[in-house]
Amino acid sequence: MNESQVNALCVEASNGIDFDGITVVPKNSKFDVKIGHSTYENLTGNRLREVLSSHPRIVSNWDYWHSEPWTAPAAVFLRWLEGMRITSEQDPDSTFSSNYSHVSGMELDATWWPDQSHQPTIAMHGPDVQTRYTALSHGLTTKWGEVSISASLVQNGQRIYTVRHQDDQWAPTSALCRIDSIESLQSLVKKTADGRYRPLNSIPSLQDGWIYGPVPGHELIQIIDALYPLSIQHWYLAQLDQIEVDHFYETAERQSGIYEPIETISKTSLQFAVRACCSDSSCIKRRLWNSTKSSPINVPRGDGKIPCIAPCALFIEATRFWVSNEPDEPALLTDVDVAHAQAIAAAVQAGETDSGRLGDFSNPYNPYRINYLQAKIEYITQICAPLKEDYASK
Amino acid sequence: MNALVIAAHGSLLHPAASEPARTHARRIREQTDFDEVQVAFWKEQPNFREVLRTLTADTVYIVPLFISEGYFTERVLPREFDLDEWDISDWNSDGTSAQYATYTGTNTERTIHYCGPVGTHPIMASVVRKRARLVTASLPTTESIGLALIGHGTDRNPHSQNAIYYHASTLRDQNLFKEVQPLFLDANPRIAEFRTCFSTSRIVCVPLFIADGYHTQEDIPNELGIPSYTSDQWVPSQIDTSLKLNYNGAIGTNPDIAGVIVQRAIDAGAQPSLAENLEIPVTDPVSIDQ
Repeated sequence: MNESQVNALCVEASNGIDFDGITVVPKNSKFDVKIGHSTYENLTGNRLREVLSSHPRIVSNWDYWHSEPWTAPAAVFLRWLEGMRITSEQDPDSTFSSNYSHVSGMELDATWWPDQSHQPTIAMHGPDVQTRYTALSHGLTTKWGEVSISASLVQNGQRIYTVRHQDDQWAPTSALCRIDSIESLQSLVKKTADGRYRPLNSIPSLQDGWIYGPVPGHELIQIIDALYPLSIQHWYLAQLDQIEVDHFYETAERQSGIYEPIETISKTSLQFAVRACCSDSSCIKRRLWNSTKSSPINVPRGDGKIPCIAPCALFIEATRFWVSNEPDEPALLTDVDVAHAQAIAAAVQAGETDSGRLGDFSNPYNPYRINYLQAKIEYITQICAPLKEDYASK
Repeated sequence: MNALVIAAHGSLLHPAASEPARTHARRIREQTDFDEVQVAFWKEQPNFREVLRTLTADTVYIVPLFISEGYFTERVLPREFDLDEWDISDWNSDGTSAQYATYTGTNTERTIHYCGPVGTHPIMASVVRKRARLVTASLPTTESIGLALIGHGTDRNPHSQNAIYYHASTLRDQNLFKEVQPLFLDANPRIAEFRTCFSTSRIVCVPLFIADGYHTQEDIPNELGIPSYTSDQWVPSQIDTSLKLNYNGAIGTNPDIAGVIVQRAIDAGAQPSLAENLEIPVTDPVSIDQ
């Protein structure tokens, strides 16, 4: 038992506590306490100390979440790694029970909210502290983008975290290159394993073979931000249904200069573009935006946990390319498409299909261009299917 | 709570394009007490909109990491940061004199100070001079040295050349170099004309670009007739028996730029505490050269 942690909780007890498996209600210099299924009434200060000392996990857990000034997104993310989930205010499960623990008593950073007049109270539910400690003692692993994050316990309830590529989850640590600075990580995320530039962090081409950690929670947040900038904040706001999304045509209307024409892209071509650039094989994010607020795009949004809240620069660039090369009727194979297919076929035959730089759409082997052509051919095949059946029946 | 947002271009093609913004942000984060220091890019992640959606400070300083006033600072950034009330006249600028304009954020009541670009700040001349001094400090004082300020320039936007002319004029007035001339990739006087623009026996070339990339590493050396630039070192070249040339990469990678970014925010009212090793460049040529 860590004496200073008990002391800290005793000091806070006079203000009342309702957090993650423990409630303390101060009453005329005495305390009513509930820890898990056990209740204690009219405890003196000394008795309170004794009771708390007999629940070291509850005490160290409370201390861990109160000894650092976590921002709300960071706290919620770190607790989510332990299996906790946000409970909506309307959720009947958000009332106290021994199986549910609450974050609402936490010192959330009150300024961390875009609309400060509507700062919500955030409750979380999930496995109780005992269950989580047992799981953490074995190591809890969660995927985020292309990395896996392992959370585990060290002494006095302190958590440590290790990050590696998801493909390296079972690799021995000794076989991995150790990264020990955010600067080194930022350099690593900018290049693929074969040295190509990754213009966006969300392209699923993060190189493997490295390990970062173990590190404390605040450093984990920095690591995740270097891997996937602002992903925790966007995920957090999306969890609470408070994220503002920029849909395609409103984004397109905003454009100027060389990007001004993209607002003319047809909905069909837009669908091809989304399939080409936003599918899980092209981006680890989950697309929240539609063509307009009320008009969804008929393409799966993706299985990723990190929300995509607006068409990205690569998508805008790609759209510009297709708008300038697409005829008014997108459901036709154009001369450009035929030449493109022929160039790909010739290159495959010659064994020269270097995809070049991902952001270079002049290259016929650019993967997004190939995806787009594929989406278009599938679309045309589908709309031609009845004609084909009709022809076959004759 | 206050936040400093460094708004930069970034690139879908060149990995070095965003490096200066990230490096300066890291330094400012470590050496000042801004509550939040965030980078935001036009072409990379996090982009301007993504940053806008997560800003929580009640006072925000947006500092464009661009060389000149122009299309990006006047149209793209105000639009992407939802500065609905933005009007170019709010800067009251002659093309190089923008300081800042202040707005209230849409739906947030947040105060947003939209600052002029880094490249046009008067202390940028000091950064250029300090960089050039790395070469000239070890040379005999009798040697005749010219300073070439190299910019991109474009006929499509007259402002794009103004910053280069502005700093050239300042440096010329300081009489530290025998000649100071601007040269441009895509406007007159062009880089390839450097021999006719200078009569000195040595020219120190400083490209006023934010990041190293194709222009500073290939285009400009090619125009100057010197080898491609690949390192962060000064490249000395003997052009012929009567002319030597020293070339270095983009000024935007210089560590002093972090100080210029902070100064932009200070000009707009920020009062950050600075660590001793974060120097704000000064305009006084004597102190900078010592």
